[in-house]
Amino acid sequence: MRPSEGAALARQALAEGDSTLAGSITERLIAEFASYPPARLVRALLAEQANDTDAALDDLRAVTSAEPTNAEARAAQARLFQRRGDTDRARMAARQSVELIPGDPPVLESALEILNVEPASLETSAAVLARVHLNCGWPDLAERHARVAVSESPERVDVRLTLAEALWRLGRLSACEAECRVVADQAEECVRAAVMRAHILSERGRTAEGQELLDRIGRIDPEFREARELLGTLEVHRLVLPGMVEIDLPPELVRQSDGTVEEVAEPSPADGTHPAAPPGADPAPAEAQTIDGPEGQAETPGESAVQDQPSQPVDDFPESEVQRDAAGSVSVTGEEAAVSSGQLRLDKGAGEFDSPHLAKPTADDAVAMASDAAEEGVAPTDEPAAGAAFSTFDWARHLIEQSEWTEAERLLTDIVTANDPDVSRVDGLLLEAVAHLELRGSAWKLLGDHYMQTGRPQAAADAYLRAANVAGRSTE
Amino acid sequence: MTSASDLHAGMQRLPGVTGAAVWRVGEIPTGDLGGRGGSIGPGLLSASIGTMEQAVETTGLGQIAEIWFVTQDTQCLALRSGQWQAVVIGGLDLDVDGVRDGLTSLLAANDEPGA
Repeated sequence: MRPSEGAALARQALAEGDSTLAGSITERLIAEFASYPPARLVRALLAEQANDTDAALDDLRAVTSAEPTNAEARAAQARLFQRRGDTDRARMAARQSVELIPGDPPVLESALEILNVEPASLETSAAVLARVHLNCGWPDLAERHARVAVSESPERVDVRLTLAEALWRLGRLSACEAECRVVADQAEECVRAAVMRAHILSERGRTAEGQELLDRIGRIDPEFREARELLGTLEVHRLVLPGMVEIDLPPELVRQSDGTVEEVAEPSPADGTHPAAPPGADPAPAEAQTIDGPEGQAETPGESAVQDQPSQPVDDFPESEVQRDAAGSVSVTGEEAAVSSGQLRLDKGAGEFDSPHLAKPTADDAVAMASDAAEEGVAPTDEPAAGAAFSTFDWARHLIEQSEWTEAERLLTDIVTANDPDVSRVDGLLLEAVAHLELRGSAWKLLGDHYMQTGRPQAAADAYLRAANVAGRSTE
Repeated sequence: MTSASDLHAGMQRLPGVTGAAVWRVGEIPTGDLGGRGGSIGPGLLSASIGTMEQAVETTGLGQIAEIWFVTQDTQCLALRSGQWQAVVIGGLDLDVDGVRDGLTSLLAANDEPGA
């Protein structure tokens, strides 16, 4: 049984009032895929029913981190905030839910009830227009409205994700990547942003890294639904989506649920019936895409022409890992085939896929700086944030480990410029970076900038001096 | 809101000024010191002045409003005005009084209380 079918069974049991069965199936799913959003959502709804607000909000936080545009989760958050008496947050979450255009009428009604408005009196916000245009396949219009929405609500990660997706569909990959980073900083497990980043990496010739990132998504989205939906809009890409995974539900659970698994299961993208797939998109790109002629291309306005696609023709790839077989289909060879053999490593714990191991700074000066900075009030740390899966920080560590010095420096600069409120986390990352000779000069300079930003001029002066020394300049 | 780069451009136009850096508390200093110290120069000088400010405050002498120093070929003036802090350098012929007045006016004109 596919995980989505298990989740559908749990939802059905919940709807029929069989909380025990719903809970059993959900726990079974979560035991296999700890962050699986549909299972966490059902568990949150069960906790809501049981008046366990904290547990429900915990699960919903995980759901919205993986799927910031999940309208049902936002509506549930709104109800829980209202139950707690936190009216402001309840209204904010309800507004978010409405603006995400939920397809499920009860979800919309629940959000509208909290907002206490009639559907007819709802204002059409830029966020709504952005979603509508994106869903209609008009990414240029979606981008325009999403930018307005981002300027109105810069803290809204769902709006930022809409903007990122619009940019991705327009093929503006660098701009998309920057937005994805912002999304990943707020919603560390955002699957959609990770899929776009994986594709961007592959388009830049770093297919193995993109594939690795895509494989990690399987921890959260074991059926790669979002990846299939997004990559399915492309004519060709160099990523390989692993095959469907199955789970074994105990027979007693399946029996209790009257065995109508296939009927209740959500439509799967692999079945070609995913409701959110844009019109004209290839619904089942389970493997690397087949190149068809123009007549086989998507008809969506934003994707009607080959030049609109974020991908590029296979023939354009220098030393391409992608090969065309006699029938014109694309296959992946060599290292990539090994990386993405279709066998997911789902038996591994989540922690095993977290940030790559990185040599800790061994230089005495880095240790001394850490000590200095701590004396000025902030203790540095080299521990990645708990639960981070695709965060910018992890990505920076990954680039450093891969000796991608230019990219790493660019990303570190972005991190410092963004002035992350988690000061110690930035300290830790930069102190790791100074341990690498190739990054040392720029990392000390960035550390100086960061110390200045955080009101630690003494440590900043020291860091800048070290940067100057690395650059071989005497400041005397 | 006034950007540090706009202010920096204005400071560079003050007579005799050959390099300048400006920043708000909690921001990265922006500017250049006429090529001296490379990209690290503005940050290093700003951080050093910030360190001296901390030392003066810690010893209970109050908050520094202005620092001036001279080397064998350079004069340097650092000012604080509202949210802004600025450092300018020039040659020995720099009219420090004139630059101080110009700089104070410039910073005050761009100060945004509560920003």
